[in-house]
Amino acid sequence: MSLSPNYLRPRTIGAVIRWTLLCAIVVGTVWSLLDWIWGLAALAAGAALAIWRVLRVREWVRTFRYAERADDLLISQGLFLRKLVCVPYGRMQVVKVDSGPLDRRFKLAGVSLVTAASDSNAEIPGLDAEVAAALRDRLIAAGESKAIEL
Amino acid sequence: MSEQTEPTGQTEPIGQTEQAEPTEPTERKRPRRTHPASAFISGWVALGAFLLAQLRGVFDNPGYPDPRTPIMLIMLAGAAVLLIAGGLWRWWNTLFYIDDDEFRVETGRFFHTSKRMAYSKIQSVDIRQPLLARLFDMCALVVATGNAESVELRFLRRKQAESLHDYLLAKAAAERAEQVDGGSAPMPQPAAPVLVKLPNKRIVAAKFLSLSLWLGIVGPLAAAVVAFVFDVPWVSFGGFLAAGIGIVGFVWTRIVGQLNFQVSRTPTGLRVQHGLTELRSYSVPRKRVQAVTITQHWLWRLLGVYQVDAAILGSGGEDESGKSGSILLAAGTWAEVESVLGECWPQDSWKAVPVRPVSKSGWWLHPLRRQGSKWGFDQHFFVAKYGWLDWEWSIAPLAKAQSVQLSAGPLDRKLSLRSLSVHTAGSQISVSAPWLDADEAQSAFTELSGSLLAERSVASALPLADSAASRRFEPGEQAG
Repeated sequence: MSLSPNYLRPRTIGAVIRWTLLCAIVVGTVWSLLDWIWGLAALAAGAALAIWRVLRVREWVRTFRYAERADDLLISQGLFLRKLVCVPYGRMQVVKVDSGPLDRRFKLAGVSLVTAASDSNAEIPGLDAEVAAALRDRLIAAGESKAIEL
Repeated sequence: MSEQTEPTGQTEPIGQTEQAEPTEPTERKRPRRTHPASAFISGWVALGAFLLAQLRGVFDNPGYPDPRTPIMLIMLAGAAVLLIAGGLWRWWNTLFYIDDDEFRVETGRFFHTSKRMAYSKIQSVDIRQPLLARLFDMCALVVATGNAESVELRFLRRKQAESLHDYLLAKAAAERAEQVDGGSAPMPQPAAPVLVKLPNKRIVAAKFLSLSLWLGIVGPLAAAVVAFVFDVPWVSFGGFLAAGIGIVGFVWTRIVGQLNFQVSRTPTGLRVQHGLTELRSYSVPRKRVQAVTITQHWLWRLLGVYQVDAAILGSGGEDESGKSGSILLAAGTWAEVESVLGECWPQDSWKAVPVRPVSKSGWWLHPLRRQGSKWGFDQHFFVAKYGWLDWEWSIAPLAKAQSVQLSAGPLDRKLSLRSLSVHTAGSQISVSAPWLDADEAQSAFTELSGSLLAERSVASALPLADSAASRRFEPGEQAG
C-alpha cells in the first residue's frame, strides 16, 4: 500500500515552511556575523537546498510503501537512506493515530507503532483519516491476538 | 484497605517497628519500615559533605570564619540535629507493604506519595550496599519495572533485604506464571550455586590493559612532557598532574567496583555480584536477556579474557563501564563466557550459528575493519561479529527481537551493500551487521522476519524461564 495521494500537498507545504524558517535563521545569522556577500551566498545555497528538498517530497511520498502481511507489517521508506522494516504484530505495544493541524485540513492522519525497542518505532504518515483509523484497529486486534511477552 | 497515611504501627515506639512479623492474623496489612539506622546513615553522609564544604571554605579563602569559633560550632551542631531529625522524619514516614496482594510504598507526610507496583510488572530487584551502609551491614533494595520509575528502600538489614529480594522475585515469577498458564506454585528458594568466580588478579590485569587507563596516564604524562620541553611554567605542569591523578582515581574506582566478581545460578537465571567498597548485586532473569555483546579489547588477547554485557529489560541504568545494561562477566575466559551464556540460553546453542564473511565489495572503504567482520543467523539467533583490533560479538535471540531492518545509504547502493539490524527491546545493545551483499541481505531479511514469527509460538509456549521445562523443546540443540 502506498500513502494517500492527497498527502503530497500538506507534506510539501510543511517542507516549504520548515525549510524557509531554517534558511531564514541560518542566513540571518551569517548575514549579521559576516559580510553581506556571505549572507547572499548562504541564501543562494539554502534556497537551492530547500527547493531541491521540496521537489524531492513528491518522490518520497511516491516511494513510501507499507504492507500488512499475515503476521507482520512491512514498511519501506526513504530516498537517500533507504530502509525496510519488518515489525511483527505481536511486538507492537501501542498504536497511535496522530494528525497535526495541516493534516487535519486535508483529512489525513498518520499511524505510528510503538514497540519495546525505540529503534523500531515505525511511522506511516499521511493516510486518509478513515484508512488510518481502520489500520490502527486492525493492528491492535492483530497485536492482541498474537501478543508475546517481553 | 484504603491508602491512608495513618498506619497501625504509628504509635509504637521507635525500634520495634522494623521487621514486623505477621503475628496477628486479624491484621494482615502490617506496614513495615526500613531500619531506623537508615536515618543516621543518610544523615551522616550529608553531614560529612557539609563538614567537607566548611573545611574547603577555610582552606580556599582565609577570610572565612574559623570553624572553632562558638558560632560555627553552634551552626554545626544545629546542622547535625536538623539532618538527623530530617532523616528520622523521612524514615518514620516511609512505610512499605510487601505481602500476598500488593507491593506498596508510602512516603512523605506533607507531600504524600503512594507507589504501588504490580508483582507481575517487576523486572528486577537489586541489592545495593553503599560504603557507609556497608559499615553497618545495611542494604538498599531497588525494585525496578520496565520504565524509569523504580523504588528504592533504604536501608534494610542484609538478611531482611535478601529475604525480601527472594520473596519479590518469587512472587513476580509466580504472578507471571499465573498470567501465562493459570497458576503455579511460587518457586522454591534455593541457595544459589556459584557459577563463575573471577580472580581479582585477572580483573586488575584486564583493567590495566584496557585503553582507557592508558589514555588516563599517558595523556597527562605526554602533556606534562610537552609542558616541560617547551618550558611552560610549573603551574600548568601541576595542573596536568592533578588532571592525571583525577583520571587515574576515576579508573581506580572502576577497578574497585569490579572486584570480587561473582556469578551464581538461580532458578530464573543468574545473579551477578561485584564490588569491593560498594557491593552491587543484581539478578538477571533468563527471560529478560534481550541481547548480549562479548567484547575483547585488543590487549586482552594476551590474557585471553572477554567481557560480556547484556541488555536486560528493566535493569537500572548505567553501570561502571559507562555502557547501559549490565555486565554479566567483567573479564572471563572463553570457557566462563560459554558457561554464563549457556545459562542464559540453555535450550539453544548460540555458538552453532553459522557465520559468513561480509561482502568484499567496496572493501577499500574500511580495509581493516572488514577483515574480521562476520555475520550469520539461524532460527534462534542473529549474530554480528566485528573486529580487527578490538573484537566484538553481538548476539540477539530472535525470540526477543522487536523488528528487523534492512537499510542502505547512497554509497551502499552504489556498491550493492546493505545493513541488516535486529532491534531489541530497551535499545541498549543494537545488533547490526553492515556491509552485507545485497542479495544475501535481502533473503536473510525475508528469512529473519519469518523466524521472528515462528519463534513466537515457542516463546509463548514456555511457561517460565525454567530451564528444565524449556530444554524439552529442542532436544537436539543442547548448548555444548
